[in-house]
Amino acid sequence: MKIPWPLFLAWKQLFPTQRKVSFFSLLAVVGVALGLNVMIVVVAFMKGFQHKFKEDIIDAQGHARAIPLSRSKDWSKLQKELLSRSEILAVSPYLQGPLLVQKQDYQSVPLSIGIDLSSGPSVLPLDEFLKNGQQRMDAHDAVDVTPVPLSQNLQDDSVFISQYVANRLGVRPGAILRTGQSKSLTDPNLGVRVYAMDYQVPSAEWKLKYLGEGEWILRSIGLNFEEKLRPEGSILDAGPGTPVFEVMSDGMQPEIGAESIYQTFRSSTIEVFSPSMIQRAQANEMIPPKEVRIGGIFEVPWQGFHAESMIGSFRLLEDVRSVNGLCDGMFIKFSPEISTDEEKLHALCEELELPRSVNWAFVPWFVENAWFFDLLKFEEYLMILIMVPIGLVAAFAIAIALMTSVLRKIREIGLLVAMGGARVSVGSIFCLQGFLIGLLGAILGCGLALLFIHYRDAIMSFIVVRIAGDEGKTGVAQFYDFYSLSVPYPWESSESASTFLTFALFSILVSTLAGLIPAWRASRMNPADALRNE
Amino acid sequence: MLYAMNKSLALQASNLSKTFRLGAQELQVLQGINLSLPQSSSLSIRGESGCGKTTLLNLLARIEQADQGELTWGDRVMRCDRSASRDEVAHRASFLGVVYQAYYLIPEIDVLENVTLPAKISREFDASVQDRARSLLDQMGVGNRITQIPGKLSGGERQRVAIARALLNRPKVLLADEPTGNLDERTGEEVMNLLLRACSEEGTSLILVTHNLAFARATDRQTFLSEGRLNEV
Ligand SMILES: Nc1ncnc2c1ncn2[C@@H]1O[C@H](COP(=O)(O)OP(=O)(O)O)[C@@H](O)[C@H]1O
Ligand SMILES: [Mg+2]
Repeated sequence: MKIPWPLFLAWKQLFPTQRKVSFFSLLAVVGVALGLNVMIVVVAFMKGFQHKFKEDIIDAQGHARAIPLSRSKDWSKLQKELLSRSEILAVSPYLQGPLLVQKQDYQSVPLSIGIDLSSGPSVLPLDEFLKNGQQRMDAHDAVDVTPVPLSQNLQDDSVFISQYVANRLGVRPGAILRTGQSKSLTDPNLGVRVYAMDYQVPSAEWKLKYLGEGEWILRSIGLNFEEKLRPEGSILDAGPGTPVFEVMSDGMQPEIGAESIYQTFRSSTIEVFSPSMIQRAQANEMIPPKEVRIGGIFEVPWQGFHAESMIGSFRLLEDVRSVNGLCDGMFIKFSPEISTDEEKLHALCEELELPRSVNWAFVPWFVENAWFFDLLKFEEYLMILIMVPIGLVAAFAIAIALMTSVLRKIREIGLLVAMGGARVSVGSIFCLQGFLIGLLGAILGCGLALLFIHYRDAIMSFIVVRIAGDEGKTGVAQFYDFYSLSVPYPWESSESASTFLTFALFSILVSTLAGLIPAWRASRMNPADALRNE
Repeated sequence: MLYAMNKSLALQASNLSKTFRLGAQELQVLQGINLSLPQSSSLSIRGESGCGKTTLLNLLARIEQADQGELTWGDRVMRCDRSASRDEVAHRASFLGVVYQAYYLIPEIDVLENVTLPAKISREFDASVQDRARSLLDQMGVGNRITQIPGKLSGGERQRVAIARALLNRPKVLLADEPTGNLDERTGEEVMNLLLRACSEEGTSLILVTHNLAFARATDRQTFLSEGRLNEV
């Protein structure tokens, strides 16, 4: 083993022979590690938030929007043209603007988006939004078994509204409650479950009964409805206006005569007016309002999205606004190869814009929301700005400790020179001590950060419960939403790897620099004076 | 005076002078010292406290800069009115061994590591070094303490380790500055005998600074330093 002697002595001063560690080096290494851990964790969390917001924004707005600069009607031509490019997966036109909605005396003016029913769901994850917005009814001896509405529930005579609008108007989508069930159907492997609830299902009582040999019967006394059904796949569908069921029997048969009883509640209706309709109404024209049903309630996780909002079909908005042939913009979804690389996405948007810059602007999501990400970035830099001086304080502590050790070892320093050690080498012992502290601290700190990221939910819950108690926990969790935060490990994302690496190198550099002043002192020492030192 | 016409000199100094300046005050410690040390010989220097013995050793080791004078290590001639060059410092590692009154062992490493340190510094560290260190420690009578740290050794044992360390690189010259100064009489005698025997066995020339007349007499030549001049007695 031919390690240079200054490194050997530096190591031995930190970890002397026959003692496990010196107290100083333990403190210094742990200090560096803790500081590094905090820096990495804070930045990793900030990046996690940025990622989450990024995903939420893309969900709510697509990767980019094409916005017409003049009232041109050539959008369908452009749509075809864009779709012919291999980088573009989907293009969906939309209409957007405020509409007045009304239920009896209650009104709301949601920002309304009309999306193309065929292409819209491929750009906007409507199902996801609907899942977030679902609410269950409370009832006595009945169980709310209403399934999450499907995006197919959006038609030209139905709309999805945000929770806020629903609460304001006091309306709800259709619901189905189970009021009774035979024992053999309660078995989760044998039973039936409500698969879908069309927005047109009327309020009624339904009975679903097993007739044996794979045959079921769905009956509603009030509606005078009766139909025998056999599952297609596992789905029992008696057509529009009826609830759809899924049979869970996994090869086995339920008891003959077993039945389930349900009560359905018809979805509410609301009246929709456009600004132009209101104008015409003011001019005393008789304007029949457009009546639509509530197909579902949605929640968009992106906070920048209007809380008071409504999603309808493109044709519905076209109809109430009487803007035939126009569109307010198009959502564009790119292939992952483009969408994951902001520079490529930006470049492609500019390329698309160039030949038609008079008529269309192509705006990527991060340009449109630059204000928000600038804010997050600002916050991140501010954090770093606060933490770096803290890191420097740690470095001063190391510098002071190493300086004291230089003063304690003046005579040994003189001896090493007398034995033929070059002054630079003697000085470098202290610099190397700083480096070793930084290196070990960096390794330990990265390890701690990995542990923290791995157990982040447990740690956060622990802290939150300590502060807010068990009840407060859900509230805080909702607010910060750290459970859904994705904080990638360094081997999972290059961004995370560079965070780890940057801060690890920073701490190594800073503690090496901290050793530099003592090293300089040591190497400037006159060996004769050093040896005389008492 | 002390010029010997012997061709095989280990060390030779001519006209070494040293003045310390403390503000306006000037203290001329050494005034034109001439000295020559044949190979495998020993020389003792006595003198009152503060007469400049340590300063002279420092000049001979090129640890300190002289006002004037010339110094020869083996066949290397050096001007002493400048600080040691890198090359000279590197050469010192193999040419000179030093032993001080205070032992200056490195406290964080064990005895064997302390003794092998000079080989690491002169980059002559290899497998044989460990064996040599062990045999030197055996020779010094502390062969059974090699895994101890210096803090657990007595003064005499520490000085034995320091002597082994000084001899590790087979230096041509060993400079010993009051090596028994911190030891009681009996221990001092033991250590001194070991030092003298080891030097003659290794063929290392020795310059010994001591207050002890008996130890001084054990060397080939005895000198006395006073008023900046070195006189043979
Ligand atoms: N760096 C220095 N600055 C000023 N005076 C010094 C210095 N080093 C030694 N001296 C003085 O030089 C004289 C000789 O010192 P030294 O060689 O240590 O004497 P000795 O070893 O013979 O006891 C003493 O008077 C001492 O005070
Ligand atoms: Mg002295």
